Amino acid sequence: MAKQPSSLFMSLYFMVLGILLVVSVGMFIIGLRELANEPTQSTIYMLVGISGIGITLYSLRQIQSKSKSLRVQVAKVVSVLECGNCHNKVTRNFKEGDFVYGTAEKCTNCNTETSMTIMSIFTEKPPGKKSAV
Amino acid sequence: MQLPTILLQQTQENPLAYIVNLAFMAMFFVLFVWGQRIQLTIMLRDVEYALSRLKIMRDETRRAAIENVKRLGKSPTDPTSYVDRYLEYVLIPPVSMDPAGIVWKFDHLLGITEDRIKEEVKAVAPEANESQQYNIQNLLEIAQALNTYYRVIRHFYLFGKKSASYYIIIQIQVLLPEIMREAEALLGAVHAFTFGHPVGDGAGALVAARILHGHEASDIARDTVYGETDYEGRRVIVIKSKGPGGTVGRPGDAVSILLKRRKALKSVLMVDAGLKLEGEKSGEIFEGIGAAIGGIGTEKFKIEEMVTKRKLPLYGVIIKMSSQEAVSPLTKEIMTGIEQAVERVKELIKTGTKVGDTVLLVGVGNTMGIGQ
Repeated sequence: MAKQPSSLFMSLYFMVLGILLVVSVGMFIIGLRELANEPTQSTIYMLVGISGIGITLYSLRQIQSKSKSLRVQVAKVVSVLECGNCHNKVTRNFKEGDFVYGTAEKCTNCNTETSMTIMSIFTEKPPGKKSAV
Repeated sequence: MQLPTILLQQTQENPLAYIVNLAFMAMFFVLFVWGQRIQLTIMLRDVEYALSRLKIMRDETRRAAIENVKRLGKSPTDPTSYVDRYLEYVLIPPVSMDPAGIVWKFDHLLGITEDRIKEEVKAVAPEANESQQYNIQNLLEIAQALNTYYRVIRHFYLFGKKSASYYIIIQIQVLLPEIMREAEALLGAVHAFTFGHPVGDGAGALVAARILHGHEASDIARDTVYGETDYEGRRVIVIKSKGPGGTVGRPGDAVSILLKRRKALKSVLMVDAGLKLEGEKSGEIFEGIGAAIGGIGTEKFKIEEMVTKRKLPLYGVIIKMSSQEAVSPLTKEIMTGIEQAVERVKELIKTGTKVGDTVLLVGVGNTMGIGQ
């Protein structure tokens, strides 16, 4: 029923865009060559050529933005730990099972037996890694 | 080289110019007769594209839910059939012709739904701990929501195509950007709910946890805890959903119980995440009067009912974020907003009450990845 846009329609679409691009570039070149002999018609040829190239580039850009939006951004999440004894703060990658005010590994700064507490969990930077869906 | 005249006035015999002029006339005729039909086809293509994306999103979320149940639950049987059945679950709303008492009917039905899902998730994921079971439930809810979006859009698409009705298709096309934004937000949430990251919606719960941290918390209502602390000579009773599993608890029930128990309460303060408008900054806080709580409305009703009976002032502090941020891991901006909200809540307690008074603070939101 609902086909992927990358099926037959996309092939036809790319074919039409290709033809349009070739014809437009051709018209632009012809117009440019004959500019001195027939300025009015050459200008029309060039304008039609530029419009064709513009339409093709705009369509390609739209396809590119649509394919971009099919990707899910996976954020890098970090946990901030704090030692209750020496108040040393450590930021490390999130581990499954971490939660705010949960206990984590022991403090390496003061070497006590006290576990550090997770004070906050958040994404450090805007998502960079993308996974295609 | 003589360039053929393709536009402007004809001055000479030129077959190319005739063809171009004929094409223009044909185009005019085609657009005049089949203009709406062409527009309909273009719109149908847009809807079809959105539908194919929704299908991918739905399938991806379903796959993530099944994998998570297998990974965390170590189920002896294949959970696929359960997940597929869950995707089609519906809550049949009570009749609203006579709306009196509908809130309690809804509340009852929600309770049954929660109990049933809890039991079923326990059965399919026996090895998962309580928090993980809640996170699996959340993941299933995301898959269910995406499945509903997919089914509804598919219905309008097929119906519009069958009836060739411009007006059916235009209805769905108008709603499509908002639906797709919601669907993309839900898809982005899958990763967070798979691993149990705190999400933006938990901002209210985190504010409550910041104030309650270091003090004992006890159960007060379903999936909801409360604890007491002192601030500048005031007694602060804090309510939040029970973390770190992904649940919103029953803050309405908790407020009702505490307001019945504690007669000396002077005011009620609520903190929640709120949707920002386009152009606004995430993490900004704003305040208001009234119950700062979203959802279906049953919890809000209970809080408003009790607070009105007791004639208590009710204040809300809201942390702004987008719908995508509400279901994605907390960002630095929202964390800054949470710290600001903690300070604002303290200020409100200090300025709005006297020494010796008791205040009730309710942190609303999904407490996934947030303890107490």
